[in-house]
Amino acid sequence: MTSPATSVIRDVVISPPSMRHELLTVVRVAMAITFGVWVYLANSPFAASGVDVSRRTLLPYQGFVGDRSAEEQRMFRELQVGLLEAETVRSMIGDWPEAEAMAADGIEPFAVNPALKGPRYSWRKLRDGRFINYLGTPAVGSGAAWLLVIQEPDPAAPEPFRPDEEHHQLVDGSVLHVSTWIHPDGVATPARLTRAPQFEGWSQLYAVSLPSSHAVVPITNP
Amino acid sequence: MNTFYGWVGELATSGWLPADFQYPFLTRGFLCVLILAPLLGGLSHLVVTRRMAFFSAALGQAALTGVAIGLLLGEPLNAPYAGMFGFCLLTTLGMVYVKRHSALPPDTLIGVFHALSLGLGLCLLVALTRQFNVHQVESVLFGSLLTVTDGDLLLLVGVGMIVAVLVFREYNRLLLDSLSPPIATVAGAQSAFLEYLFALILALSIVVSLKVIGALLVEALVVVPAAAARNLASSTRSYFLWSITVAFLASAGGLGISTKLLVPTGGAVVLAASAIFFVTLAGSVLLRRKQQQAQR
Repeated sequence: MTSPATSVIRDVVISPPSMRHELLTVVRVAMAITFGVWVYLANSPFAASGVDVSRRTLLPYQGFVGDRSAEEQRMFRELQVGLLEAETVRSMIGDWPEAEAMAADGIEPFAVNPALKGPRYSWRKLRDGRFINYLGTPAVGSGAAWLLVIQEPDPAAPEPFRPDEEHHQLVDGSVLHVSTWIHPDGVATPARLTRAPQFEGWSQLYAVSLPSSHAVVPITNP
Repeated sequence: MNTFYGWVGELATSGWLPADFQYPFLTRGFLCVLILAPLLGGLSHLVVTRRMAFFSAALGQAALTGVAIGLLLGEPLNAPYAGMFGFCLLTTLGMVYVKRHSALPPDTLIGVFHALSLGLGLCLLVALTRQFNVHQVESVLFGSLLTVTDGDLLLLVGVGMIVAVLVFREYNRLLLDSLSPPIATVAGAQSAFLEYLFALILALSIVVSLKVIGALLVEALVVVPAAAARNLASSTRSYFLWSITVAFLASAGGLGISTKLLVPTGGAVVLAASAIFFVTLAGSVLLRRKQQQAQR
């Protein structure tokens, strides 16, 4: 036996919503979304015309050295020159020079320039397999730390040379991956080799633009 | 935020927190996880109940195409939001509309959209690699904590709040509609509206999670937590809570794995979620056997 409350039976007619009305609503919402996207893009500082293309390719841990202080720009420039000197030694003797050896040869920034102000740096070479680091930390007091990361070629996977900021070529034709990094707190920087500095608070610096290397080459029919 | 990151960093250096928290990107990532877990975990059980796992996969692929469209329209690599939101929401509307009005089975239709958006995305990606270094694009496709900014975190909080309010308001109707649309309609719910609403909520949640999980893997965090929770839950409430718990454990575990092993965050999170799923599956099978033996 059922109670009076549950014995009430009511009929509910379920009619499907009007297809036309639904389509109109969907179109209206789609138009609103499109309009919102258009307004957002129209007000974006990164114009679709391609202005400032290089800047929009940067990830949060990357930057241009041109945006840094004059002192940091000088250090970056010296590191690029020092790297070329190190690559020359590597091509000639088959091994990367020690930081002390480059300092003894008067190669800046490994050698101290007494005419310059700013923090003095203590440089060291660190190596693990195909990875080489030249790490510079302030010798006294605080300041930024600098890092050159070099990755030697994998003999099992040779790759073609692309002339850009991240690829250098030795005399024997082998291709190196190189990158320059800065850490705002040089005192806290651990003196150990790093393969992925971005995971340890370092910022990568570029002189001009990011390489568009490793691009997927479209396979087209002949 | 810098003050907050500095304070957390001090706690990390003084040993109160794991040493990795000295880096702001990890603190930011952990905050993202704290929001993502209830967001995706909370939606997860509704996705599974509504049988929208494949739909979520298609949305993830649409997000990949959205990234490519955004970048080609001139958006920065770090925030191609107009392309992602625009394309994903439009694809969602299209998928739901066609699904509702076609005689074909839903999985077939979603498969068509899935293939279409993936094909379009791949073609656009080739065009994209003429402008961008493909390694840079990879971090968006597979997820990387390093690409998450304070702006992304704020967006995640904003969308998380909107989704929370909408789901809180419509939860009972959504659940009833998931279990039986005719009964939900008799009870006064507008089934069509709920279908569109939930699909759009899901699309929004997937898009804001992309930076952490990645475009190609985000659907896993929408499906796996509920699948694992299903092995443990005994009621709707516990199903909901377990989904969130699994999503949190998978996200936090994946965060730790990706930081220690230097692998993409999205992949690490999905591996952690899958590991939890298989552990819960094995646990539930063992428990069932024990119960059967006890009954004998």
